[in-house]
Amino acid sequence: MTMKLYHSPGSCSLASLIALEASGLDYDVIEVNTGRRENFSPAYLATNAAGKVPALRLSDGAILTENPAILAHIGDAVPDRQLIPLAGTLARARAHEWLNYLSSGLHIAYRSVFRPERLSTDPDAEDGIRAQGRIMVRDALAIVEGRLAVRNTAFAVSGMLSVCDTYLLVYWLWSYRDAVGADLPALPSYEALIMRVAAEPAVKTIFEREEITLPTTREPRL
Amino acid sequence: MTLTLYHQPGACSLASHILLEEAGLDYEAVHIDIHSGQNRAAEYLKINPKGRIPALRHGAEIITESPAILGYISGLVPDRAYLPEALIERSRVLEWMNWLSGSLHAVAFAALIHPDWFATSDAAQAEVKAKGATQVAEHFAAINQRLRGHDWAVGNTFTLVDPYLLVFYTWGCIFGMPMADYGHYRNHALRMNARPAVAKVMQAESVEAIG
Repeated sequence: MTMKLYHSPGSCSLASLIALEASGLDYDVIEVNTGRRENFSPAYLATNAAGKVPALRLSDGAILTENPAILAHIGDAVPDRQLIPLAGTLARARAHEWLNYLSSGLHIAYRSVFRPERLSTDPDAEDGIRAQGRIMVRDALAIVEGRLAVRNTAFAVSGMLSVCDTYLLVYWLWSYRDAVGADLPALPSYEALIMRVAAEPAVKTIFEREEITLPTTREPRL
Repeated sequence: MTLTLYHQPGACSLASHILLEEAGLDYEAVHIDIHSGQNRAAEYLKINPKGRIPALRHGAEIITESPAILGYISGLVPDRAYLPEALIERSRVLEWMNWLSGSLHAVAFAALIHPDWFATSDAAQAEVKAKGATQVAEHFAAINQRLRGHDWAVGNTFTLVDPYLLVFYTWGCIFGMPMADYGHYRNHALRMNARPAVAKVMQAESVEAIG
């Protein structure tokens, strides 16, 4: 059975979609549009009770959740593609360092900016939650930049595109959303990495299919 | 090469401390006192610019993020199979780790412990905190269900997920949550505590909460 990715356009599942494309494996995509709340439909909740994307249906029919686990699974399924360093190596630890920080640090920071209602139902609290979120996003982006600046590899963890790079790409795109604002730290290493990532064939293929172009202008916060 | 774990007793670094002891590796544990802000001091920020614990030094390399550190320790003792060989089991380990690190620690417990990170007004902080407590309880119920009929989190053997699960169990005890209601999770904690290496580290960190 072909693997199936449950994906919402623009969400962090984009990283898994690009990883599947780069893997050379056959795969199907099932759109679960979170903007239309399709992730909370009974059918999808039966697939992933947490109502989150991505989820990956494996070849044996089982469901795998959590983006870093999905990304690592895709990478490990095709070791010759080197989409993730081999288990047991220092480079592999670096990959998990990236995946975990992006998932539990940067993604969570963005959540406060994009979905303040998840934290408080009081509309008066939204501005404060967004403001705190912007501080967390700026801090996390500065950490990402600092780490990228001291690496000695062309891509995040190796000389080739890895699932860490596809994941970094998602949060680069998110940094251009209006709610984030333009007052971000300087991100020269991050930007240079993304330019390299965007030139990769699998990324170009998915950008074209999903109608994504790299943004160039940050919107000042209202 | 010496292994040095930078940790705070009772914090999530407990899992890395336990796995180092379980592995029988030679290591040094250095207490970074987060209550006095040592993790934000210039000296520690040179080790981990994120100002978080745990961090693991191995020779010239420093590794951060609990799931990465636990995976790295597992790689130093491959015969112990703390990270299973089979792809699907390894992916299940990563699924557990990211869910615990993200949804339970960085979302639910962070809201409960640090509502000021997320909201500014007193009323909003109170709501964030209450929501965090509810989410922690939901996660504990889910963990309890998943451990039903299983001695360990993944497969039939101890993996790097198990010490990480114990961390959050002890936090539940500290926050006065009804851990006895989560019988399968409690049995898992007792099973963990029966391991000599775990008991030794729990004592070294003065963590006694089994509930």
